[in-house]
Amino acid sequence: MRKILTLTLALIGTASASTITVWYAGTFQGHMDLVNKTIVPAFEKANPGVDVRVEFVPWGDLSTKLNASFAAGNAPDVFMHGAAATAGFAANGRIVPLDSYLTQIDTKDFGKTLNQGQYLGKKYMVPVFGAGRLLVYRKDLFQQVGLDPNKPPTTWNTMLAAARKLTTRDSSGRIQRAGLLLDSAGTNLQQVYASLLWQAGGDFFDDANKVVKFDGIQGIQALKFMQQLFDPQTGVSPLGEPVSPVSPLVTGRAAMLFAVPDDLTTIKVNNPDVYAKLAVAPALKDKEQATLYSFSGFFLNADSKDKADAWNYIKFATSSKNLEDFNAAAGNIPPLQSLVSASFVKSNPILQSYIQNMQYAVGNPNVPNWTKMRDILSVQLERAIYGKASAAEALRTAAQSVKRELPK
Amino acid sequence: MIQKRWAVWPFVLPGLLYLVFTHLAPTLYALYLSFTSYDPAQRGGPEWLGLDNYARLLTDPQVARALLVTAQFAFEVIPLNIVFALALALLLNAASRRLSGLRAAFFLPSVASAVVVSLIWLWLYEPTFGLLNQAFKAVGLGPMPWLSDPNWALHSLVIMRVWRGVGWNAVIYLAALQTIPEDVKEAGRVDGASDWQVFRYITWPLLTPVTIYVVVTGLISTFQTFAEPFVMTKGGPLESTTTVGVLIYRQAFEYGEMGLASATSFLLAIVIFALALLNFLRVRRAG
Amino acid sequence: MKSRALINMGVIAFALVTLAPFAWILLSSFKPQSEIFAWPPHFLPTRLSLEHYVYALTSTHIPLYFLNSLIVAIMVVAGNLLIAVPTGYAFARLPFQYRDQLFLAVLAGMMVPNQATVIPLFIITKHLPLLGGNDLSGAGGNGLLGTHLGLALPHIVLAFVIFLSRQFFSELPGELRDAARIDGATEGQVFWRVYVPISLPLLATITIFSFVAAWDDFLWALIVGVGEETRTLQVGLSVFLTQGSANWGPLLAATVLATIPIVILFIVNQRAFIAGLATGSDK
Repeated sequence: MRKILTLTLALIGTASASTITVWYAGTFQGHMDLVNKTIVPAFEKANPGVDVRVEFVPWGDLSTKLNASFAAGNAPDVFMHGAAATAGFAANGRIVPLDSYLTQIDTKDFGKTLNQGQYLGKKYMVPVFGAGRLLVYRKDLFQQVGLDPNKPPTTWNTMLAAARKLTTRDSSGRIQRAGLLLDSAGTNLQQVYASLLWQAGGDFFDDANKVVKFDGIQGIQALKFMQQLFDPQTGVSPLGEPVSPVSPLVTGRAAMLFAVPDDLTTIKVNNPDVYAKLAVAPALKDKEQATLYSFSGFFLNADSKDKADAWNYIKFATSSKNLEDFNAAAGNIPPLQSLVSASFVKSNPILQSYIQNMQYAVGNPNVPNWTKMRDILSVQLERAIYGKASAAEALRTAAQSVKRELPK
Repeated sequence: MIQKRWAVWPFVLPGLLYLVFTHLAPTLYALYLSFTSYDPAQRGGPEWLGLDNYARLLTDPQVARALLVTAQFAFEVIPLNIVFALALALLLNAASRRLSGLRAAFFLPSVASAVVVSLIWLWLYEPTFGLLNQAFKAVGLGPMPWLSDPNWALHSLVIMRVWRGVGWNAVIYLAALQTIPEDVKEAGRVDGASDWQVFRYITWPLLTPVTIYVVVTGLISTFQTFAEPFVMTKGGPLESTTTVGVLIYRQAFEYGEMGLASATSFLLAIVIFALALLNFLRVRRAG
Repeated sequence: MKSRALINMGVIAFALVTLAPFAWILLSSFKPQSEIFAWPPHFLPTRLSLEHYVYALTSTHIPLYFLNSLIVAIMVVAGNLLIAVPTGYAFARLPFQYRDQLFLAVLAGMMVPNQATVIPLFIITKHLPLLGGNDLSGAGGNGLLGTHLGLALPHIVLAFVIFLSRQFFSELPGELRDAARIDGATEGQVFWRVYVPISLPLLATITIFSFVAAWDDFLWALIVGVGEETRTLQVGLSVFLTQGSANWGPLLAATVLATIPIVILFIVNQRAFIAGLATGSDK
């Protein structure tokens, strides 16, 4: 009915109605319900004359749809994306620096999360939710093999020792249960490597993002450690475990793995008995204690014809109340410090652990062409763990290609 | 009879004009883009590069690899498809008429969407509780690393593709088999030929036009394969299922290299065209 | 007689292998939520549950996506029957200049992968003059983006349909045309009154083929659809596949639902379809 009404109004031209389009990334049902049934109606009520058209785009399809809409010039006024996309869009002038708008909100409460969307000193993203990668393990399996379920591993060596104890093999020597299951391809492989790299005291680039550093001594150390984890004879993870609809923690294929909070929410809903046996280890330490955290948030399109209303929507959707509801829906990490004591966090010890470990958070580098660099690196990491190249050789090859993608 | 020249245009023009603007224009534009550097997210628009993209493609080991993977996929799928389709067609031709209702069943895989089929097979290939490994376990065979082993993943995609295409091609073969007069084969048998010899020297040569058709449509569809590896393996492990289709998609939509993606597409089109032409020429010489 | 039994068994074995994956998915879609993720897995549902269908049909936009796909597919079928079939007929039966060259060009077009042409066509679609708020120069509005016609655009005339029609009509006797022409019929009358009535196998084949082409499209539907109003079923399926979502149950149900129209269409047209498809290969 409302749609017909808006259409009629638009046709007779009486309303000075403005329409803004907003793309949310991800299609979690709880998020869609919250936005469609609560946030947008409340916003439209508070801002008469503004019509918000929301679309939920699956993460995997987001780049495709954005690229096409930029090419044709009909990109949404507001869109959600991961922080690592900031540099690319900012360098191309596709998004607006938000510094002048940010004076209107309580930026202190966002703390350091606002810096994730920073490029060349300007802030482009208002964070909505976060994810971190921590070691999650099955307490019951720890007990079974004589490990103390209340003393999770904290260093590379203790993790490897525990994983070896937890690994079981069949008669032909194939791993039946991985002590520590790792993805051996793609973004997940790169993300685990990133954490190890930082733990070894290394980094992808220098501070100005001009010089490639991951092929240095710390990078090689991190990759060599990964090779150990995947070693066919003495390793703790099989190569090439494919995606499965059921988490390996549930099927018993894995005793430990690196997970983001979303993964655990799924287990909580479908297999509550297994969920009760899970615990989270603190961020690992080699030289440094560090792990990957990344936030996703809203960006404001530079071509938006109604930037004032678009910003108003961002401001409204990232109010403390709305962020609380949004993060409670899927059990994500809220970007606001004030929400650390919210009831959905307090009732969720696993989420609490993720929030506590945010003090060790490091983000992926914010450079243009990051997606491509990430893929180049993943391919070479994969070669190294399959034994097709030495750690040094794989990283050198990756570094050479990545250098060509860095802005001059 | 007086032929009015304009009388043909109401038939041809709407279709051709439509193709001009929905196919020819985008193709020409893509051809232009293949000589440029174009990132849709960039504001500047396309920048002329001349032949740089093509030069890059010809020296890029990743492109060569993807072409090899694609060719291997095609040359495994097409012969297997023909063998199974022909076997099924011969069976259907000889089976009791009551079973002809089953033909619809053989078609189902080829008309179901590629994404749906990929999802179904992702479940079948699931290492521990997938139907296939459960069946293997029941007969005492170890779990197969269907999609996780770089030496196996492409073959697993081949199996799925053959499963998908056999019914379609079998019906085409069946129709052709039914047009072969029984007395031709009978004459062979009278001369003392075995069933195999009748098939080898009489039936098979008569099926040549159908085989050509199956090969050419097979070349076009297998060389453009994208959905199955994209949904099931993302091109891995170790790039072992990165077909040219997957590579083009990454270039165009993930890396913002539309110009390079266009050049790769035309390279692929040339390869398909050359192979299809080769096939036609071979037949023309033979027949 | 014994060999006939063996042959029948062979056919049945082929059918089982072909159908087993579908049967498994169909059964799984009736499993209650607790059993889909149960570990160890149950192969057969302990009880049949409609919960995923009820959820997919009442709590999601699947019915809307379904309707959108259906509208687009009907446009595509109509376009191919009314525009592409006559074009194929002309290539087979009517003499005109550059006929073979034009036909070759149509075929060559099938060899360029659509990942390359999808963005150029997208730009064209947005800038169609006088449509969707555009002015004469094609600026100002959104053209056909976010419309059903926009979704149908690349499929309304399919090169493969022209190819199939040409093959079919070139196998029909040309004397039919000559005879009718001598009787004073126009080219249009010859086509509609003489050839179309004996082309049911072709029309059935093309109905199914173009329906499937529209129904299965993903990449184009993904970028041209705007909002829920013009999201198609294939794009909608990927909504259920999102990270961290526990929506495998509804995904299975939606997968089954997405296959139903094709199965119905196929069963209705089966006989004619098989006859029509077979003609494409003879030349």
